[in-house]
Amino acid sequence: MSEDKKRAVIIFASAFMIFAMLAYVAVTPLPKEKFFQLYALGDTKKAERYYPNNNTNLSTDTPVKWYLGTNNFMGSIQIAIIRVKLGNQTLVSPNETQATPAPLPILVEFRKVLLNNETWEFPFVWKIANITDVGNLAYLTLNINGAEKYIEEVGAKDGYNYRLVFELWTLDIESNEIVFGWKASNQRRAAWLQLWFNATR
Amino acid sequence: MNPRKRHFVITYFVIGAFLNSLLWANFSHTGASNSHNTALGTVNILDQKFKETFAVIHEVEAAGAESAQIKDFVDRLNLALNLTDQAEAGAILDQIKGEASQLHDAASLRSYYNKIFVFAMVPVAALIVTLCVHYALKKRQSKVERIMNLKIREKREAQNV
Repeated sequence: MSEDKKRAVIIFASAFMIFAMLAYVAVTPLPKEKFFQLYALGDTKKAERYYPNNNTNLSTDTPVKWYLGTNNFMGSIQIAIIRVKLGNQTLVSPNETQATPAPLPILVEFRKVLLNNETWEFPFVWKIANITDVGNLAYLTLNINGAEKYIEEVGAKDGYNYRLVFELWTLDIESNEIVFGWKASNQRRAAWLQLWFNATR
Repeated sequence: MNPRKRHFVITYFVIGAFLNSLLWANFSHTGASNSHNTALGTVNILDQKFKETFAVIHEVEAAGAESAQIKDFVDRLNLALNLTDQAEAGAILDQIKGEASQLHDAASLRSYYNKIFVFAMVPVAALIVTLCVHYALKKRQSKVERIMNLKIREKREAQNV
């Protein structure tokens, strides 16, 4: 084989290897971190002014407006479910490590199918419609986005230290069940928020 | 078989094996991710139907369907999710599921052909690069040879004087 041909074969083999690598990289999707974000904003759509006059002591019929939102960075379409729960100081919170939800009554839930990289943000308007005293415990009737609900499972002493808990649930395609949090790299992750308030007359 | 042919056959098999390993690695990965989407449990009729429809769209997305088509499905899925009339919601879900199943095959085929096309372009691109480099080197070589072959001659004006 002449020098020219030898050189051509070497160039061809080298170029082939390089282009094959490039082709493989081009058709193989890059592994990315998969996660959701969950957030709550005040009435100015910023992380401030969560309560009227920044006062967490809420009297009946005082409207409170928040914006709830979630971002889907899971790399595919997902069903996002935001469950709103009422808790007090003593009831258990969600556990991020074990991905267990809070054993609290669900007040309302919001559901939406999200595209990859989609942000879903919506207003959450609520007020204390009524406060019922049973002994020294106060029980609330909440009005959320126009619908009223009396929550008999959760009371608080003198109406202090209530909290609204927001949990993100998703549809796990493998098990075909709605689960708290999501699964990424064979690990369960969870996202939740809570905002405290006192119920006063 | 002469040494030249044997060399060519060995090179052909090495390159072929390399290409096949790349293709196998890529398609086996796709197959594994699709098989995750088939296990379904039992819940009430609409929820089950919704989950099935969602799973089909998920598969269509994984198969490489266009984002505009996925967005259309997701919009209609959200419409069904917010309907209080279960019969109407069920009809929408059935329609989406049917269309998504058809699209799944087309998307899989298209993405398969795309991969084949990309890998088929590898030897073509390598050949183009080889030809370009080969002729560039040859041109450079001939220029050097031309310079090396130059001879010293007297100027005509000098001869006339």
